[in-house]
Amino acid sequence: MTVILRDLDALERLLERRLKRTPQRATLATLLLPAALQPALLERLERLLPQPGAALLLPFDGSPEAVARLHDLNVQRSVLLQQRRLILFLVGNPRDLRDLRTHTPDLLASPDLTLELHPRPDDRPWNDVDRDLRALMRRLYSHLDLNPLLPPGFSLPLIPWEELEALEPRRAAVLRAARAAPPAPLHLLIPEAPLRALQRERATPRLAAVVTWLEAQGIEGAHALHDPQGAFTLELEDDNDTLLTAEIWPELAHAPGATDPRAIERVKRFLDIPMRPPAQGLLSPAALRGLLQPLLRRLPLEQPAALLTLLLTGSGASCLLDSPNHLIAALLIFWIEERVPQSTRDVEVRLLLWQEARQQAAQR
Amino acid sequence: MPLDDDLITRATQAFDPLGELNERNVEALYTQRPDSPARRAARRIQRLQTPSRFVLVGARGAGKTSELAALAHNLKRSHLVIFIDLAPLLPARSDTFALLTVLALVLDAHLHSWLTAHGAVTRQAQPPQEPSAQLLSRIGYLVEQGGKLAQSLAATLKLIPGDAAESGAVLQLVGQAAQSAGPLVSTLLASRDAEERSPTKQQDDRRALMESINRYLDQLQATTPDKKPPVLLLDGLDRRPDLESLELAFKDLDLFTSLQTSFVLTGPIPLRHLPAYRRVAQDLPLEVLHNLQVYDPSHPGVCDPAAFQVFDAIYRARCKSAALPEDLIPPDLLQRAALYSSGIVRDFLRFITEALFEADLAGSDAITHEHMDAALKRQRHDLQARLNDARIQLLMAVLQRRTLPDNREADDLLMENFIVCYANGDAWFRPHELIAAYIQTFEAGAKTPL
Repeated sequence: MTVILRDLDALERLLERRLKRTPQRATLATLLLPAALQPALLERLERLLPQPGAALLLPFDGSPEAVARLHDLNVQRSVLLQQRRLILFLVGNPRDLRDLRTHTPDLLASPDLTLELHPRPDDRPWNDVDRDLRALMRRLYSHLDLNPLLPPGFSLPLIPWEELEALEPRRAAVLRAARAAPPAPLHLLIPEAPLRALQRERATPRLAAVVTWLEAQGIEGAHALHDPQGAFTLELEDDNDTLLTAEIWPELAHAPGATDPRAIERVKRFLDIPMRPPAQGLLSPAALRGLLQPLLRRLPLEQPAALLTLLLTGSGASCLLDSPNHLIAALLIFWIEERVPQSTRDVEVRLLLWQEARQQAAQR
Repeated sequence: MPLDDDLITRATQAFDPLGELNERNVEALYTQRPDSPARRAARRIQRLQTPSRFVLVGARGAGKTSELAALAHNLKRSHLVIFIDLAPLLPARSDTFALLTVLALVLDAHLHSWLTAHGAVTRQAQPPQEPSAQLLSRIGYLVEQGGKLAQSLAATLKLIPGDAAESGAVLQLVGQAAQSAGPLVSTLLASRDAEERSPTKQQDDRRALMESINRYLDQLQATTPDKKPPVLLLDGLDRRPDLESLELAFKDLDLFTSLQTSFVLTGPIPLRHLPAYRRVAQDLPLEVLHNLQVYDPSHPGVCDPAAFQVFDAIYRARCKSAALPEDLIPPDLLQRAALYSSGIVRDFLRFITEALFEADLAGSDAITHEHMDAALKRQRHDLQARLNDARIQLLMAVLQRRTLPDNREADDLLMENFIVCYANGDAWFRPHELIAAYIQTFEAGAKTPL
């Protein structure tokens, strides 16, 4: 299974758990991580598996020597699984990961873990994080082309980059990177209404009012809110080191909250947002439900450029909403989920509905 | 309260997708399919007077090795079963001649191992490497390398179970024994340069090799107490690293047809498209281990009941063997796992263990839809990450036409289980269920994948 991790601590915890569950054979894993972290990884593995030879580390860089070694290993699955406790293939980039699987079709036909370690953004320069996340998102979601969903007449306001940077100083680095990145396909989608609101209310943020409203909804941890330029940001970090940052624009916060526990379950499942139990968390499921449900109810297909931005880093289904496609994809998922019958759990059916939605939008 | 720690560990082991059936557990865990090749093959081998031989092909993880284990179990009372895992023995670029050379050495070593175990000869009286050394010299190998290999093989061969007279025996060269012989095999094979030998000489080499193999087989039958005919179960050729290696291993497949004993080879599904195979298809028929037919086009999204029965039986056999409660995984989750496995047993087991792991990580008191969804989703991402434009286009064609395009990339996708083959009605092809709906989103009229 593919698991995206933030740091070596999380990796160590996951490996420890997995090793415990398969005492009868080696755990078979691939790990994509920056080369700079390899020495630290070795230290962790020595601590985790102190017995000599228990862990077999196999760096793969696509060289002919590495390929020849893989060919030899590919046919030794049963023996390797018996002799070792951990067989870990190390790669530095997604291309090597794909090649690795090609050269070991039998050994890696069904790996126990497919791991990717992307260090915590806080520890690294923002530009590096931004570049890596964009690469990750392109790999995971670049196939999504949802332009046909845009309703007729929909237009993006053309905002000069400089103005955007002025409006969004926190995102200045992102915007600059977007402008510089070849082939620079990114656009920032800001609908007119919130843009005006942003312009109007920049000087007088309504944090106090929103906190009051959140408390009225039974949301714990309102202190976790802070007020960056005109939007309200919630941050929560769960036990699996998933960081969720939700920016909620003021207008949304005034919508009446609904309480449908299934809605949040569906959103959670789709977006892979692991939640803490309410007693331990800064933000309870009820709180997040309170935040998302108004959106679920109000989200019309005609306004795909919504007021909510989710920056999910750290889960396999994460979506960095810095391009129209990603934004629309996430919103469409909400929209579809809200309309799919509760009894429908089947992925295929959901995707068919998604497709149907695309066709409807294209016909309009 | 979270699921019991011991229960999760036992369940993870019981449903281990990488566990293999063997002589010890085959009786408890083997689940017979309605169209089981093992049953058909056993009957044919037992009833026909002439040697019966065929190639068992199937998708990776479909259960070929399990079928061979069941076949060995079924035949061991009537036959001297010789089970060899060729995968760790043979270097990647080995051709058919090299493969049969190794077989000759293994049989020779088996012969002397058997005789030694039963007191018919002693190593001192008859050095085990002598006959094979003569053969190797004759067909162009360096004898010194062959001698070392023969000694290594004789030392590592295993007889399972130990008392052949009582319960029948399966002579095995698998696992560590096969792997430890691997480097010596490589050295030996490298000592012969086929290009230096004239075509006539090469013909002589082939004849001499096959005569020796047949002679070893005769001797094996003659020297065992109950004169049981040998049957060769040759596993592992489906684990060649790529199609080129596969083609090389089956280059002179007609050599196999001069073997005068019953045998079963395992191979991957694309084998049937290789020209080398088509030449001998009549003499070496295929037994296809089809994916269990979980998908019925007239009822998409629902696991076919007949196929599910088999998966359910596999699940229950493993629950029973590990003393697990049968309600550990609710039936509707099993159905989902079965459907999205595309009828591949290893994938079915993988989904179960991953759902278990998800429940374990969440500290949940039961395995729920949420855990199975997460397991399927992670596996789907795993497959999607290995796709590119060309592969998506190809899978779209497979989805639309239900046929296999005639090109190398399609064969690769078939080898890697991105494409699966069903046989309800006619044999037909479809993308793996995990990605079928995803591929459908790219179908005609939609934008091409970015």
